[in-house]
Amino acid sequence: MPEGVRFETQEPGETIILLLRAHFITNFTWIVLSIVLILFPIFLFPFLVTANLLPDWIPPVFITVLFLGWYLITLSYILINFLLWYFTVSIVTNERVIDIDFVNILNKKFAASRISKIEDVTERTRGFIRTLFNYGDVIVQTAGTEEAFQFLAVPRPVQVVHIINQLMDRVDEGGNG
Amino acid sequence: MFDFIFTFLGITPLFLLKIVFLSLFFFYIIFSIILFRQTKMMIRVVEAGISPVILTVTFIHLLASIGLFLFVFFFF
Repeated sequence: MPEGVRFETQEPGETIILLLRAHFITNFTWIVLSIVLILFPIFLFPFLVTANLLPDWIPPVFITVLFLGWYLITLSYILINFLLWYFTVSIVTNERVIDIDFVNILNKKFAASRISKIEDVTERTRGFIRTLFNYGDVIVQTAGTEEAFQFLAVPRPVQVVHIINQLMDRVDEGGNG
Repeated sequence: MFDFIFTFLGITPLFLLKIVFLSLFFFYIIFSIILFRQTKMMIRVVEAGISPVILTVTFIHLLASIGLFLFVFFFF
């Protein structure tokens, strides 16, 4: 049970049971690219100066501006990727499943459904990397015409399915009893 | 060719470069403001322990982009 976490539409008495976000390993590509972006100017700028590749009329302050601008853009690249990963979450509470997707920095998709409306929960783990790091997709099918919830690349998907199934059983017992 | 254009327009290549940088960094400030506002919105949607840290980093990013714009304006 995650502590110190709240979400916007949390109802009174609603407890967060699972807070899921994509496995950390899914960040691998942008982290590697960020390291390359951080290291690149350290080698490029001294080369530009020593090889005398810049025109004479360009002052040294140009290199400073280029250097600072490069790192500012790199910082924004890291920030955006981190924010999209960190805030794209799927939440399972004692009452609902909630899916918050940040497609990009400007587009948010919010979907929620009552546990009682869940019909089927399946997990899908395909491929070597996913099996190695034990992460996969959990698909929550709800009643009616509602779109299925997709918790993508979440860690320990089998356990997630198990917990949601337990919650469904508990809600069913509560409804029947 | 370029020398002729610069002489004709009465500007130096350095001045043109400064205008290009200022324009780019001006749009970058707008982007930084959007990023800061969106982060505030994201933090409202999901509140977590590290939310203030994330907001502080995006604010520093915004200040840095303003700082770079001013640096180009005064020192370039």
